Amino acid sequence: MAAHTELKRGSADLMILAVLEERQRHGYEIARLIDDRSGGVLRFHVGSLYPMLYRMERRGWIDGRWLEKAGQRRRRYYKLSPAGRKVLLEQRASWHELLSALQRVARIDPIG
Amino acid sequence: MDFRRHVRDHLLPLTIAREPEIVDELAQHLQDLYDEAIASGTPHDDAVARALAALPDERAQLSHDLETASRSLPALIVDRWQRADLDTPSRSAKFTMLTDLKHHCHHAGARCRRQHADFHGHRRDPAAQRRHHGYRHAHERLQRQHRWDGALLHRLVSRLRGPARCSDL
Repeated sequence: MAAHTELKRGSADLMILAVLEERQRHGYEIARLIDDRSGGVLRFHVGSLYPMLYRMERRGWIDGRWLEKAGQRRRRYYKLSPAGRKVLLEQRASWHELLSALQRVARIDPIG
Repeated sequence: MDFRRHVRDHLLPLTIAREPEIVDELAQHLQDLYDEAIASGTPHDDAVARALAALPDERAQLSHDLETASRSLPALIVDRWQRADLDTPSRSAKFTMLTDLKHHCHHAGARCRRQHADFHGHRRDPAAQRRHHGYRHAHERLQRQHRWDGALLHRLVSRLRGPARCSDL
């Protein structure tokens, strides 16, 4: 699982940006979605998720704001900024290139 | 169930203005975990324990990570620094380059003026007077060069003193 940890650390920005691509989400929802989509392989805990969100917010990739929806508690929602969208596209391309190369070199069976 | 007290107890005091917001947000996350556990039939105490287990054991590390992330530099500055490190000379190198250029221009101007003065000195020498015709062409050439060097020096010094200085240095 140590390998997972290292890979997760390297791809954390991409995962968070990707789940915010469709719409704004709060921290718990981001963590839950990554967990679900990865089949439980990739999990973000409080200790890693929030520092990462704050860092990305400071870098201008995401915008966070408190929202109070009817019948719900006040929550902090994050949405992708134009700069974040650009970073997401760049990181997707970069990861696609890397994973394709890795697949060829390490002879990993194509998924799906 | 309010997890704010648990979060506040877990964190070391943060020295950032948004600490209350951070506490609220982390407490909200624990609340969601608790609600999820309760919804799946977990008893209250177990649900609380499950929610609190989401907080990392390393209190100092979590506090440190939250603080440094909240103070991290905006992308614009980070990118600019990285570009500066990778692609361009450092600020001090740029400064040295322009200073060298300025000195070079000063020396060139001074040399030109010296040559000009030497020529006039030769004109006062009777021996040089005989070669006056030959020197006349040299004199005119030096005058043209002096004017050109003077204009170039003036432009360069104006650039160094003007707005370009702020952006270039």
